[in-house]
Amino acid sequence: MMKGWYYRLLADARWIVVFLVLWSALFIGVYLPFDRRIEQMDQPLERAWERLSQSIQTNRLGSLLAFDRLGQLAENMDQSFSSFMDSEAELISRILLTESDQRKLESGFQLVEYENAVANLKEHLRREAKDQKVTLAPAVLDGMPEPVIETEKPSLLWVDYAFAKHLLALAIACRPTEIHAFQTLTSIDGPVPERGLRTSQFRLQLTGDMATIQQLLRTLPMRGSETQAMGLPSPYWEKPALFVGGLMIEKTGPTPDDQVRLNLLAEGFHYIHTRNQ
Amino acid sequence: MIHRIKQMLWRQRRLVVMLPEHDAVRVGVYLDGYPIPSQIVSELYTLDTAVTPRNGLKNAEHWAAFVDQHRENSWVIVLPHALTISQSITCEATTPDLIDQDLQKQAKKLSGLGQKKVILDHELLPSHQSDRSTYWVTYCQDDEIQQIIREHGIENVAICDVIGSHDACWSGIQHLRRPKGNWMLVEVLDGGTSLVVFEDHTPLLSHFYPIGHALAKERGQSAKGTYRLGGGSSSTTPKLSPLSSGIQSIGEAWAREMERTILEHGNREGRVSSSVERQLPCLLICEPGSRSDWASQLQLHLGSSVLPFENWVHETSIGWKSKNLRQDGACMATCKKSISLPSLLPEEVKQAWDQKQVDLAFRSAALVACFLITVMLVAAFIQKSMLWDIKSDLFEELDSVEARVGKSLEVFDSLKEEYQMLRPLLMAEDQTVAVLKTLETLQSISSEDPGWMVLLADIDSYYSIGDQLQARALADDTNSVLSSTTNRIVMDRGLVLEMVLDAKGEAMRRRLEETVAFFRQSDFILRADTLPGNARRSIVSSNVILRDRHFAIILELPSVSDQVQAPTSNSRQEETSWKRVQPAAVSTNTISAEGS
Repeated sequence: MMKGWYYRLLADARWIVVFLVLWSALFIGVYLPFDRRIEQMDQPLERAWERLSQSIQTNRLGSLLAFDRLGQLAENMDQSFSSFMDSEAELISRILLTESDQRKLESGFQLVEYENAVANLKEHLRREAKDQKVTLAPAVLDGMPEPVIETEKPSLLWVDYAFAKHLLALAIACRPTEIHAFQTLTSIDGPVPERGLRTSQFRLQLTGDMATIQQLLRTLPMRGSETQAMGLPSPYWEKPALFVGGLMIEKTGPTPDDQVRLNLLAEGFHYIHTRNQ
Repeated sequence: MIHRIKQMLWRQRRLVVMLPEHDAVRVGVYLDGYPIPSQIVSELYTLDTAVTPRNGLKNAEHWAAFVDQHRENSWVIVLPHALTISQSITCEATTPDLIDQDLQKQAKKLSGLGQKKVILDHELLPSHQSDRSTYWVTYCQDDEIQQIIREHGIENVAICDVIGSHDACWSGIQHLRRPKGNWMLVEVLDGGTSLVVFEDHTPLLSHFYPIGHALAKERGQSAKGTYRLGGGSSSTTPKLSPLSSGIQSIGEAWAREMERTILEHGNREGRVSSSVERQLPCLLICEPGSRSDWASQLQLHLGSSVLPFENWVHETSIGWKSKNLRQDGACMATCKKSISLPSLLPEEVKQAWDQKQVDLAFRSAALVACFLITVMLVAAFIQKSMLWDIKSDLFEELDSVEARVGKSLEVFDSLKEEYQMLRPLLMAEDQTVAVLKTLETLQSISSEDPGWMVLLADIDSYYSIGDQLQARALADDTNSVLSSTTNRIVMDRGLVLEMVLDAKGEAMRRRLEETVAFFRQSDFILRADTLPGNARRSIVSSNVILRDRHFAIILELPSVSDQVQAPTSNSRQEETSWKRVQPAAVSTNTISAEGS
C-alpha cells in the first residue's frame, strides 16, 4: 500500500523529490559547514573583545580610550604627539646655546682654551661692573665653573661657562648695588645621556632696590632677543632662557624704600641629543 | 510566473467538458472562476484518422494530443441523448435505501434493460403531493460509459463526473430566461431529436427520437442513425439530399412521436391532456439553416408556438451567454454553480477521481512545503550571510582597534618619555612664573594699601636658610633656646611671603584677610593662608619689621605631575599636568608674556 503511494507520488511529482534532494544537499553540504564556520568565529572574536575590554579597563590613555572615540584614537594621539613635539621644539629652542657655544661643545675640549676664556670673561665682567657702578665682591668671580678632566664629556664645561657668563652679565646689567656671591653648584662629572636635558645650577646673591631685583627676575627667563625687543637690559643678544630654581628676597631696612637682598638659585637647561653616526 | 504557479496549484480548476456526438466529439475547456466558469477552448474532433482537418474540425491525432495536453485536468462527460433515459418517477418510499430500491425497480421496468448493469441516480423534484415524492431519475448502462471512455482514449484522465444529456440541458436553462408554466425544449441533432418538457424550471419528461439532421440529410440511404458506439471509422461521405425535402417527409412521424410521448406521460400521471394542453410553447435548438423547416413541422403537427432558442440565451440572470447549452450546463453543475444533477459516474471511475484529488492534495501540500522550505532556507542563508559579514567586519574592526590602541600606546609611551625629559624644565618654568606673578600681585597690593613685603622665598629656601640661620644663632648664643625646626608646612611647591602691614587692630586683621583672599583668587595659587607661628622661621632681621604687624603667608603652587594623565574636571593639579602635554598649554611664551 505504502509502496503504491510512494511510486505514485514519485511518478507524479518527481520534481518535488529532486527539489528535496537538491535542498538537502545544499543544506548539508553548504549551509551546515557555513553555519559551523560562523560559530567558530565566536571564540576568537570573544578573545579579541576581552583583550580590548581589558585594555580599556586598565588603559593608560585615559579618556582618549573610550568606546565612542576609538575611531579617532590614533588620529588624536598622533595629533597630540605632533603638537607636543612642536611645543617641545619651541621650548627647547628657548634654551639653546649660541652657535659658537654649540661648536665648542662638538669640538674637542682644550683646557687652555677654557682657562683663557674664563680669564677673559672675568676681565670683561670686572670692566662691566665698574662701568655700571656695581660692586663686585672678590668671591664672585671665583665661583666660575671649575674644569674636571677625568670625565666622560669635559666639553660640557662650556655649557656651565655660557650660563655663568649670561647670568653674571645680566645681573651686572640690571645694576644692583652689590653682587655678594656667585657659585656654580653643578659639576660635569657623571654619565651623559644620549638624549635629555642637563640642568646647571648657580647661586647668586646680590643687593639692590626692589625694582632692580624685579627687573632681573623678569629678564632671567627671556632670551636676549626678547629682552632687547622690550627695552630691558640685555648684554647678550643670544642669551638662553634661565629659570628660578629657588629664591629668597629679603628686606634690608625697616622702610618700604630700603634695599632688598636676593639669594637666587638660577637654573639653566642644556638639551643633549647625540646624533647617531 | 505567478500565473504558472497558480495553474500548478489549481490545475483541477480547469474543467474539460466532453460531448460525444454523432461521429465526433465536442469538447470545451472551462476555467473555474467567479461568479461563473469561463470557456477558454471549444473544439470539435472526429475520431476518424482518415479525415483531413478542416474548418473547425480536427482529426484523431489532434484528439490524442488534446487528451494528452489536458490529462491533468478534470473531465466531465455529457452522455449522448440516446444512451441515457431521464424521467420523473413518483415514489412512496421514505427512507433513502427504500427510495433507491423502488426507483431502480421502476426504472428497470420502464427501460427494459434486463440484467445489464445499470447506473442510476436521482434528484428530488418539487412536488405538490404531500404523501408522495417525485424524483428525477437518470440511468444508463455501465458498459456504454466504459465503451465511450475506451473509444475516446481517456482511461487515464481524471473523470470527475458523467452527466446525462437531458440533465445537462436542465442545468443549462437554470440561468436562462425561459417561458412560464409548461414548455418544451426541442433539440434537433444529427443523431436524433431530444425532447424535454419543463414546468417552469423543473423537468417533467424527457425523450429521445432517432430522427434528426443526419437522418433528414441521408433519407433514403439511412447509413447513419443515432449516436453509434463503435462507429467513427466510416470514411464514406454520404451524398446529401436537399434538407427541406428530408424534413418535410419525416416531420410528421417525428411530431407524432413527440405527441405520443407527451400523451403517455399525461396518462401515467393520471391526467388526460386536451389538445390545448398539448400545444406547449417550444424552445427549438437546431441548425440555423433548417430552423424554419423544423419549426413549421412543430407548428403544423403539435400546434406549438416555436421560440428560437437563440433569442432567449442572450438574456440570463447572471449575464452569462450560453453558446452550448449542454456543455455549459454540465460545467455549471460540476462547479456547483447550478442545480445538483444525477451523476452517472461509475464507481471505479469515481474512485480514480477521488484518488486523483488526493494525489493533487498531496502534490499541492508538497509544493507548499517546498515553497516554505525554500523561503526558510533562503532566509537562513541570508541571515547567516549577514552574520558572516557582521562578524568579519567586527574582526576587522577589532584588529584595527587593537592596532590603533597598540600604536597609540607606543605614541603615549613616547609622549611620557618626552614629558619626563622636559619635566624639570617645566617645573622651573612654573616656579619662575609663580614668582613673577607673586611679585606683580604684591606690587598691585602695595600700591593700594600701606604695607610692604619683607621676605619672599620658595618653601625649600625658606626652611633651609631659616634652619641654617637658627643653627648659627644657636651656636653663637649658647643661652638661647632652640625653637622647633621640625615643624614645617608640607607641600611640594610653594612660596612664603612675610609682610608688614602698617595698620592696627581690626583694620590690620581685615587687611591681612583681604590680602590672603586676594592671593586665593589668583589662578596660579592653589591655596593661600597664613603660616602658623610654629612653622615660621626667624630669617628677617628684627630691625626690619614692626612688631605685631609682621605676618607670614603661605602660597601653595600647583605641582607638576610626574605622570601624564587624562584630564579630570575636579583636580587643578592634574589639569595643569595634563595641559603640559596639550599643545595649547605648552607655551613657552607664557614667561615672556607674564614678564611683560
